Amino acid sequence: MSLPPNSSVSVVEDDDSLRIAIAGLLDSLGYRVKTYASAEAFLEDPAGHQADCIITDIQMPGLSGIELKQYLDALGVVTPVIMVTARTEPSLHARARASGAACVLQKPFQEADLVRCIEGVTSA
Amino acid sequence: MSLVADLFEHVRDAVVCWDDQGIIRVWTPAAAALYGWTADQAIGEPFQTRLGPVPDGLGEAVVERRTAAGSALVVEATWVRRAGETLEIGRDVTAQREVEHRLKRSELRYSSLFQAMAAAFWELDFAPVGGLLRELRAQGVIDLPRYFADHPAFVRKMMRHTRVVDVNDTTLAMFGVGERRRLAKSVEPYWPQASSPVYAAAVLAAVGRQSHYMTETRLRRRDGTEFDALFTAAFPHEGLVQGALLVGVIDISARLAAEADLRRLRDDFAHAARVSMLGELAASIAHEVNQPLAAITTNAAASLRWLSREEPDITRAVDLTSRIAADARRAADVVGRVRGMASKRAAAREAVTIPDIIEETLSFLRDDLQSRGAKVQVDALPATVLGDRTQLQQVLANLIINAVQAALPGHRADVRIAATPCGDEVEVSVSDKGPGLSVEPDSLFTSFYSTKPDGIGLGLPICRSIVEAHGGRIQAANAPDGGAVFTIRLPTETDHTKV
Repeated sequence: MSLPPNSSVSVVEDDDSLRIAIAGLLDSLGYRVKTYASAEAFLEDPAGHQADCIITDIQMPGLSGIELKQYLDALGVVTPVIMVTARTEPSLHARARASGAACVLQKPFQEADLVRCIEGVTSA
Repeated sequence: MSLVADLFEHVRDAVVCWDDQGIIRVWTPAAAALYGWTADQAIGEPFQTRLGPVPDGLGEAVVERRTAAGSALVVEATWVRRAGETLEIGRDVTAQREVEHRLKRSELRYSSLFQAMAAAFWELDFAPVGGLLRELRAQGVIDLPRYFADHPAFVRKMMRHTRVVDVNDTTLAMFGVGERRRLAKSVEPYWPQASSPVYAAAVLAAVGRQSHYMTETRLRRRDGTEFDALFTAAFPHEGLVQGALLVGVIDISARLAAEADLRRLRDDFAHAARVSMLGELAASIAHEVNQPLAAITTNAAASLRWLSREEPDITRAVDLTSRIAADARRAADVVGRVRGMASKRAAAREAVTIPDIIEETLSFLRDDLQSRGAKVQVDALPATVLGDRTQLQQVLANLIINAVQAALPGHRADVRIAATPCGDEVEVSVSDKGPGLSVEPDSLFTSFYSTKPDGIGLGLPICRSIVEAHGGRIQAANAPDGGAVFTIRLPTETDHTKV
């Protein structure tokens, strides 16, 4: 049920420091990581879709994480999407869950929560 | 008879005499002038043909007649009847009657206006007060304002000597008098003690030959309840000579209540705007600070992973640790920027006197304090600081409202504001008799969440920003005898280097 080691994870996050940090953590967990500074950059990369799991920030300049998920749904991409956000509004979290995110994590999230999320997703 | 007739030739009034047959025997030149009939035309004729009917039995009356030419006349006549002879002395009062009619019409108009006015009107007789003032002058009192201020009992005496002549129906309603007969003889019962100075000022205006005096004050109804009123007194000079005085009163309670509502609405709006702005601020702060925090948490976790391997990857851990340090600095910058933003608004620099802004803030909060029955004691020694008057007032207002809201349930708020110069600073403290602080005092200035649902706890971090922007410090503590005390220390004006 969980992601096998060496699976690829795509990280979409506009905050440079956090993007690198998440990549670093996933690396330490044994995953292959590709990083993107925006949802647009992710969509432009054909390799991006081939990830086993996508971790995306919700609030970004340009396409939001929720919009990205909807876009992927329209494309028929079924890769599990984990969303992370600094925002606290319950309505936003509700919308994120409603869009079909496998998990919605509140920043700053604990490593254990991220790990639990990743282990909980179904790989394609 | 001829001597008397001669006499009457010179009398201005019209003198006519007729015998027991009613035939005119005497017709003076004045009668000729008045009635238009010459003596030749009148003497020998029945008096009815020249004078019209004359009432029986009366000694005097006002009769309407016509001149020979047919013009209307009003004559005030006196009759003396003796042994068949009748002597009539008549005075032309036509013009007088016309004036009387006009006066009556005008009086009617006035009295219906008087009644119809939405204002409460009082017609007063001031003459007895004039007498009291003449006595004073005879005693050598020349400074009336001073005398009135020093002798409140005399002011009440003047009120008791101000006689009520008439009032309109609005007065009866406004002052809760009900029936006219229940109206007091003088105005004194309708003046609360605290409003005596206004009455004194009105007297001074009258004595000083002003045409009128108008001010807002509080008056008293028959049942003792007080209300806010616009008091106007007119002193028409002619009337004043006879002592007549017209007072109009308009009940402005509704207006004042509406003004208070408007003020409260404005405050609520400003507060809501501030809260929503701060809410927005808090949201964006959370967002901005959470990014570096999330990076720190993630890097720390990763770093621990690298370090807990069988072969710890020190290089990676070092790299991650330095990233953590960088992110921590980023977070600190966000906090610094936010605090700067909060106190940046129009940082004016003027000399602000502490006792003055305390008074201004209290008067700004007067309605809130009054409606809560809060007791506020001020002990403020003079001190001046350089700064933004509005911002400092906002800080004070925040602390005072907090202190008032801290009152234990069922108890009146008991707040003390003190200002004490202390070296080159001034110490301003706001203390309450509430339950005291249950949290770490310093956290009150750093937390963004208020413990009260509609509280303005959001204000304390901003208060700290403002105070610190003024080169000062603010602290909270529990008072030794119960309650909390918030203390602000600000550099006083002489020390420019600190500001």
